[in-house]
Amino acid sequence: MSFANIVIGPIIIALIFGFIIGTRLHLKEENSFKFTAGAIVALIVGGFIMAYDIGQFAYYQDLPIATTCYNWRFDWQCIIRRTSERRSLGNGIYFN
Amino acid sequence: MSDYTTSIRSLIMALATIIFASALFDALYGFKHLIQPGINLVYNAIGTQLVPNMVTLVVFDWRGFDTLGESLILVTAVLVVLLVFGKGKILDKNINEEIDSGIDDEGDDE
Amino acid sequence: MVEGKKSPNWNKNDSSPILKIMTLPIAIIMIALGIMTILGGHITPGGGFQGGAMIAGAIIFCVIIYGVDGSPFKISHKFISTLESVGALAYVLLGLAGLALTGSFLYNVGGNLYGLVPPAIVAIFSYPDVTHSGIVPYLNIAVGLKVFVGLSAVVIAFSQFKKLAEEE
Repeated sequence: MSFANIVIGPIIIALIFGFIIGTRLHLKEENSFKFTAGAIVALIVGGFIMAYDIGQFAYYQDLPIATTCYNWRFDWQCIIRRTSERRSLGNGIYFN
Repeated sequence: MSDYTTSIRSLIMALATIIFASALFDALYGFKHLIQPGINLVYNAIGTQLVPNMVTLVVFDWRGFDTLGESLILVTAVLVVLLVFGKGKILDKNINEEIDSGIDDEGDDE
Repeated sequence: MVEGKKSPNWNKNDSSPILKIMTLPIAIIMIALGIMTILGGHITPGGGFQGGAMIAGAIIFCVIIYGVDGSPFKISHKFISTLESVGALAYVLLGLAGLALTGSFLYNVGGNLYGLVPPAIVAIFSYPDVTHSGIVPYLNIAVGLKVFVGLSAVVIAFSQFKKLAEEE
């Protein structure tokens, strides 16, 4: 894991996207629901745990959390290794 | 509507159908020789180097113009729903206030 | 209960308090997942349409449980029209960029599959990513915005028709 080459595109665009939808969020309702600051903190912590468990996209190997959904974190290396073996065998199955 | 107009329309419709059918048949006749499979070969060979997800590659790169129309279908559907079922009325407070004040001003002027 | 703190009025819309507690956090997580699906459209299964539908699902969930007036996500008419226009304009402008530079509409300027564009222009349009996907993620984002506001607009309009019928 190296922080030198962080893929910055999805992070920035996801922040912009979340900001656009988040501006529509009005939590100061007198009724109907109770969503306090503690709930927001709990949601952020839960979100980070979820992001860590989800892992990264394929091809992204910069951060241990999901910057942008699929647990390829462990399987992907295996697939790349197998693919290179196949490529050396030359049976016509190529990845990337 | 008189019988004369109807018969003229039927004649035009029959002619148009014949022209369209012959054009379609002409296009389909020998269709095998008209197809150039080059673009398909290109996308199948080096497409995944561009975008790893082949479906997205086809939808947004090869057939991007289709997707533009496809995304406009949703707008059209919403418009038609609002026009047919809502009779053009949207209950947004700001817009309704603007409309109401505009109508009132016009009435005062009259 | 602490004195001075108001307890929420649970039974305003005849929804269960369980639903009213759980819906907003679930909706926020659904929105996050939808954004993930949109941004991973060029790598993983899914894309702009699917991710936009997921975000719209979260908004619809809130509208159904809390009602239109009490919903925490207030999607106004201006917001819908703005995002719809931004999505369509972004798509068309990216297509026009390809038309101006190469002569074919929606040519993938960032990906440059046929090598028609000089590298300086490719660097502007390419998505900052490990893949060389070009403008495909931007088109995904544009379609995601359009689908999100489009699908939300249908449900919000329908729930406002109900109020309209009650007033008349």
